[in-house]
Amino acid sequence: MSHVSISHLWKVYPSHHDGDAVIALKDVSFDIDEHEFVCVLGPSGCGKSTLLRIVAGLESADYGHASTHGRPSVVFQEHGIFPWKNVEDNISYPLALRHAPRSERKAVVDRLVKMVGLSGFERFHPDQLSGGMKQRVSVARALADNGAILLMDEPFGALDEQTRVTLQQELLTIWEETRKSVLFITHSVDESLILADRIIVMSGRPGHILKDIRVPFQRPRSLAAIRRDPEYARITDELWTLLDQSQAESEEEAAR
Amino acid sequence: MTSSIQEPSQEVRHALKASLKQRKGSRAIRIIGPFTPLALLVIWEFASRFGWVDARFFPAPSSIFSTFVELLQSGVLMDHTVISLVRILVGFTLGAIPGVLVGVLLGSLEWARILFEPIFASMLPIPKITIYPLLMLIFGLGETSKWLIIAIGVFFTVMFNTLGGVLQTNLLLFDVAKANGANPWQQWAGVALPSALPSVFTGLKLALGGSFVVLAASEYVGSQSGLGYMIWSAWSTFSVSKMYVGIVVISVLGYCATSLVSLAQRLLVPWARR
Ligand SMILES: Nc1ncnc2c1ncn2[C@@H]1O[C@H](COP(=O)(O)OP(=O)(O)OP(=O)(O)O)[C@@H](O)[C@H]1O
Ligand SMILES: [Mg+2]
Repeated sequence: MSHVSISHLWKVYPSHHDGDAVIALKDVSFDIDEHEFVCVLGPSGCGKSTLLRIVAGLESADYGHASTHGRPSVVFQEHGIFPWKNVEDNISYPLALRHAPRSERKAVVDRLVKMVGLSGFERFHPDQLSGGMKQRVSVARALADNGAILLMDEPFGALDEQTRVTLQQELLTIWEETRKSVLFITHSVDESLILADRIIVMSGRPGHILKDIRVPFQRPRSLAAIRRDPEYARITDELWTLLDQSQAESEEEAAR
Repeated sequence: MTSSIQEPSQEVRHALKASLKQRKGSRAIRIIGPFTPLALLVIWEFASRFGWVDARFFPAPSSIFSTFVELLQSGVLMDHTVISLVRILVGFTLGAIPGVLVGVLLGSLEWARILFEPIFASMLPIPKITIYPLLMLIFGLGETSKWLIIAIGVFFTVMFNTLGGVLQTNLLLFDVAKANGANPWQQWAGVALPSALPSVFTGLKLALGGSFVVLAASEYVGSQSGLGYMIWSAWSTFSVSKMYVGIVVISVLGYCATSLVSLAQRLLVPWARR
């Protein structure tokens, strides 16, 4: 059963300087099955965030529709944590909205704070945190929300290599346990190869799907293990070729 | 945790200390700083006594102080002060509460903003004290007209600051709330209000300062009581020291009131301080 279904999505934005509209999404269709981890890979500005916001129900499509079977939890690209709440209260925000009991909130916060490596910072306010720490808080908040579907918009984009790898592994561990359906947006080829069951490659503006690739690696995965896999070089090559092509397309688009 | 890291060397420590010191400014100057107003008083005292300035207009601080003690002992000063404070309190509350409510309302409802903001904006430039005579005609010389004239000034300042605060809210935070299933009330109380709070307090402080000006002006003309009346009547009897006492007391009250709001701000909006 598909948990997220996206069919023939179109989205345009009015452009400010001239009359031409910006086509952010052009006929985008794909499904995410239950328990499936799908990465969307594409160049900057190709409409990945727009896609995620439509799936999250925060924006409407101009044509086509997106539906989810179950409640999505969202990690936003620009973290969006509340400046007036400390780390603890930011993470437990979804639980507080639901009036979850204090003991439950505390248990969840304790576990997640440890997981994202923020132990000792529970009482810190966002302006006392680094950019990467804020991003980790927002990941923890989405995990605290614990919806059936995870929508993540470049959640590890602002992190250093080491933390990124750690959190990727943590995310995989959680995913192995919970088997949520995940829509994960990234522009990193390696990240998509480690995480995804399927990679949807998008072109530059106007954003449409270039290819839907199944990732064959065994789970549980590690970067070291998949790099030894002979398939790794082939898929990496294929992805880079597609990305180069999408770059060229969007340059053509810009030139017109 | 990081005990393996070497302590900074002597040279580095000196440099760091020197830099910290430089940022703080020289110690002597920092100690003297708060006392320069006192020095001014001392100079004033001598200038007045030795006739360098006209003592009729600039009576010596010591004689102002003795007038202050006289007025205090006779109870006159206390009466005027209490009356003025009550006027501020009532007027400020009458203006601030609707100011915050209307500001948040206009900020949250686009149709209300489009329809009603022009009305408020067109009334904003009216110097509020200019409608005081009208208020006195309608409500008479009693307390009501004074409460209202203070409230009107406070309302506009608080309302526009609150509105600005709500409009500045990071829209992403509303998305976060919505994505987590916050209902409209939770979005309002959990996102719009805290986002606007820093601006609300800016408005409250500005409005409070302004309300003392309006208070004094309204007591000059339409009153037989209050600190403004005391200052005005001192003019007609040419008791300049009494005038100064009134000025100082009003300033101190204004300062204390604003400090109280600042304190409330630090307690309620701690994230905006850093
Ligand atoms: N609210 C908006 N108003 C106007 N144009 C918008 C709006 N949101 C997005 N766009 C445009 O839509 C296109 C896609 O934006 P989107 O944020 O989805 O890109 P993205 O793929 O997430 O990029 P990145 O990887 O840099 O985050 C861009 O050209 C952008 O200018
Ligand atoms: Mg994006």
